[in-house]
Amino acid sequence: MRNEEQDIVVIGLGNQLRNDDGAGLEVARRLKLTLPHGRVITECDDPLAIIAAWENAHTAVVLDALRSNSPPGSIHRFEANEHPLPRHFARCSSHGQGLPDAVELARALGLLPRRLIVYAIEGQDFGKGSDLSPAVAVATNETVARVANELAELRGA
Amino acid sequence: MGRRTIRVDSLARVEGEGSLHLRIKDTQVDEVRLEIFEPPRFFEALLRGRDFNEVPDIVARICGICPVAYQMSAVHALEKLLGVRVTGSLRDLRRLMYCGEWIESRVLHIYMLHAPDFLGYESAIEMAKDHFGIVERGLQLKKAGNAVIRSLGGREIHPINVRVAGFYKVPSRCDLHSLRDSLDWARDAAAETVRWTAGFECPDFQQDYEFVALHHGDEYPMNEGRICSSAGMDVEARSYDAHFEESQVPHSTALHSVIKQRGAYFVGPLARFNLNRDRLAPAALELANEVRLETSCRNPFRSIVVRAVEVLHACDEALRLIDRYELPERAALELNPCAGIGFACTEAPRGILFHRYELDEKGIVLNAKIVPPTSQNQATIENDLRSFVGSHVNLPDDELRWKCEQSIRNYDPCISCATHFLSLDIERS
Repeated sequence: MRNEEQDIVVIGLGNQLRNDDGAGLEVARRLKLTLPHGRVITECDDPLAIIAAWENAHTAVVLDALRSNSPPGSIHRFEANEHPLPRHFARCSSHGQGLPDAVELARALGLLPRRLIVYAIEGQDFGKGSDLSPAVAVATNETVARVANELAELRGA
Repeated sequence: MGRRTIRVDSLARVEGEGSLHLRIKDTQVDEVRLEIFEPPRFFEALLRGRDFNEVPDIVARICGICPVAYQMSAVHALEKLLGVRVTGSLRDLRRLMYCGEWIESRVLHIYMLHAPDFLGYESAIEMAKDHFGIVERGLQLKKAGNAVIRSLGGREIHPINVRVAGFYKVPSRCDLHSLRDSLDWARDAAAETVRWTAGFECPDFQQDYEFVALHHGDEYPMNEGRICSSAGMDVEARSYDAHFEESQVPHSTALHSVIKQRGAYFVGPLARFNLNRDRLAPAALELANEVRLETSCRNPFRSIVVRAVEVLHACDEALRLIDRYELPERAALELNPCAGIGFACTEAPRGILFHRYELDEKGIVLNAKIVPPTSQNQATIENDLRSFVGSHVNLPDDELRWKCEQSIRNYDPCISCATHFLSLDIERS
């Protein structure tokens, strides 16, 4: 029997010790509470780990923070199957590699899930610390609700 | 000739953050600085006051690529101090775990970071579009290594199952045998990797290095051995401080290591291979001969081939250890804390990794010293760049920049370990 919970994976990215960079992780952690049997992954340190995380899933929802000169707390949503992620996703990591590299490598190798949805919250403060900026904290609440709704729709589809 | 400054915001495909500054006057290299500006990470300081049992889990956090190496040097140093020697199956399990890390770390660098240099691609992503099957092979190989670490360490990044004097939990024979199929496949893929990388065109660049690696009586070194060099050094880890010294340079937050009175030295796969070639697994040695890897290879651009040979060695060694595995009676030996100082060096994927710990009578860490391979190679990387740029100064800036980055990647520098990234600045006048 096909396990629909396993066919969808939620992946949280970021660094919880760099304030708003932890927004995606925070959303993933809270979604995990509402998806006791779902796959929620929060330990992806490099592009290959991200690709491994969505292996065997038909749909992956990736949660991240970004900096693109939008107002802090803006919620961006991308469908990454058809187009590369915007350039401003890159270079947030001190290791210089991240989600856009993972997406493009997976695209080149035919390893993208059938559907790859990316939610990214515009951060404000990427300095040292574990606190979300007020606008980002509000955005995480809204993102949790939006992703939960979208997951419910996907399961119902 | 007018003054020219070339600036690159980021040099990709290295681990961590730093920059390279080159100043060229006419046809002479005036200055080379590998600048590491990652803020100091203070691991040695934050270990002070912690119980010795916490050390393996804390030092694993130094690196997401080679956490096993940090754990291994730590447990060996602490066991020396506490008068415990881990043997038999527990020793084999450690070596097996190290094999997993050698495979995943080597393969990541070969396929994702370094091969694109040789084949003229900006990145592994670009390379994957033309070499789909090859990059896929790399990903599968890396997974084989990760599976070994996950099986023994609980998870592949920052494993949580290593403790002083053993493990928290040991695998069953059945657990380990489940790794056999992927390792059997991996050894063939590793052999293909050796042949593939041996076909890469390398710059003709031979240098006179002092190679430093561990050397063990009857095995290719991983966890144990004496510190030996191509210039005749042969010492125990406890004598490390008598022969090596670290110094601060203004342009780097990582310390530079030198051999006292002699200067820069070279650690890592090339050093290990040159000093331990006859200890390789038979198939790895045979293949090294087949692809004509020199007995004393002094071209750092050939290090990619040596890394591939070491992947094959690690696969065969892992299979050998799995086949002879017997469940140990206990997952860890008993320990009583005592005061003292312990030292150890193990072979991290990038070269020797020295740890020294001082404990009080309750087993609390009073002092810790950690010397990662990248800080040991830093002076040699700068020397290579000075020499390489000096003999290729007429190359166009773009090509020179590319070759400099490739030269740095010969060492697979983990700047995150040495402290972190690279932007590149070439100034011509």
